[in-house]
Amino acid sequence: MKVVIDIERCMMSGECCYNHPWLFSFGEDGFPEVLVPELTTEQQRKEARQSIQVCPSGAISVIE
Amino acid sequence: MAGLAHEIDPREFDSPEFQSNPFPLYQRLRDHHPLFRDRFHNRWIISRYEDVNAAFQNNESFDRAMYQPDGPYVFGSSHVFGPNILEYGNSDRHRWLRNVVAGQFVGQGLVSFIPFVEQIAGELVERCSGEGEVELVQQFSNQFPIRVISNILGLPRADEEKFVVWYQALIAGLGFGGEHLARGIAARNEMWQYLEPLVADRLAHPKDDLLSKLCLAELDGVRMNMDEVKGFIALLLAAGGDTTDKAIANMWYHMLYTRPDQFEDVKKDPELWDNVFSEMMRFDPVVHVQSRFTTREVEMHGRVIPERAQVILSLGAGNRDERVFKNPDVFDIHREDLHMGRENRSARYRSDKQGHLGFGVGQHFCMGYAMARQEAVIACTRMMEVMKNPRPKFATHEGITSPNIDSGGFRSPRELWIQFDK
Repeated sequence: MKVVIDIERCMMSGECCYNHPWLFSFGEDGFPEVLVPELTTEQQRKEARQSIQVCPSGAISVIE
Repeated sequence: MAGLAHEIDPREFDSPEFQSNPFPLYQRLRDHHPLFRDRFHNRWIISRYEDVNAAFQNNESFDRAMYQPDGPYVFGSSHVFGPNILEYGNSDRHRWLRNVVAGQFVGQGLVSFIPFVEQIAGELVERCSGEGEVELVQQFSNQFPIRVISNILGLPRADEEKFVVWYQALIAGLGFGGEHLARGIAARNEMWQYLEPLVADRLAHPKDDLLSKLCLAELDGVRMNMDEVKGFIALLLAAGGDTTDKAIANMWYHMLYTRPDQFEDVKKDPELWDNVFSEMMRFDPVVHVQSRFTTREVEMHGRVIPERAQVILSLGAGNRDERVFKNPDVFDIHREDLHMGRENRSARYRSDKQGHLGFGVGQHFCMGYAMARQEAVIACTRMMEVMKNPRPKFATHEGITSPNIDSGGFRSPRELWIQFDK
């Protein structure tokens, strides 16, 4: 399971990076980057789902 | 000798002049004392946009709560709200508590509350539009956000009036000490007693409301304790109510008195209320200061702030920084150098424009920012639909005031009379 960001939709709110700093961090350009390439633990999957909820632009999704 | 004119006597921060018009002093701070050591109040003050923005984002050096080098945070047990999220500083616990409600206020959950907001705005406008004039502060703005937040929490609508009263006492207790603080704490205790059975009920029979979410949220299998749940509710009621309430009054004030010419544009295109909100949050936001404590020595402007010192981030001053905004002392809803529309917690925008600092930035960015904007814009738009040809009742106004800006006192007009065609 992977978490992916649609950079075209991203409005740079920063919510993912601040709420889930183990999964996301700001890149040099101010857009978020995914830190964990593969979600392996239940905690990671839970946080990934939460990050979808906090993203105001709907740019985050999870793929199998 | 020329330099002496720029010297700042820290007692100026307590003067009535500063409280009604802080902007000349802000300018002296920015230009001549970008890092001001206020020995009288035992604190440091930063005031330039760039410095305030950077400090907000520098969690390694600045903490929201006073931390202990070798132990947990120091909690203000006499805080009006009781134990609450604001006191957990830069900890994982703070992040967790914030996440409990973040999806509701910030992200995808927000949309589901909009019909509520519309409904309550409609009811209140209806109630105060019969006479052809309205005192906006008492009759509308003071009432509106608190009713919205208590509904979102899932508190009984029949008891809304109680929350309005408790909320006003809590707010007075926040900004002032002495009897106001005592009354605030008394109101909080009364509210807590009221809440206890409700919390117990939600624990046993969860509903689809925010109160249930607060009661049931778990971190590593552990829920918030009763005091934390109650503290969280007090915080949401007060922080979610007062600031938005005053924001609405400020928006109307600026349209009626500061820029009646631009008010004509808003009447033609009500979507511009969004710009009014943004520019109000820059020009003279409800909250002007945020406090931080250093977690280590911080070097700035050739000086060193020691560890565990209080630093005031003067966002009200940063917002007027001519290094960032052109003609910063002009209120302009068509301003091209300010990001208009929804704020970003990151303070960065796709457009490369700058945002205002009115909600803070970063880890402790206002949690209710998106809600506040929605509420304010919806309220103003509804009012204008019903109250035709709105105009000031009095030709002059004492302006936006702050009873005590220095203690976090919120800035807004004391009252605002509007006349309109019935």
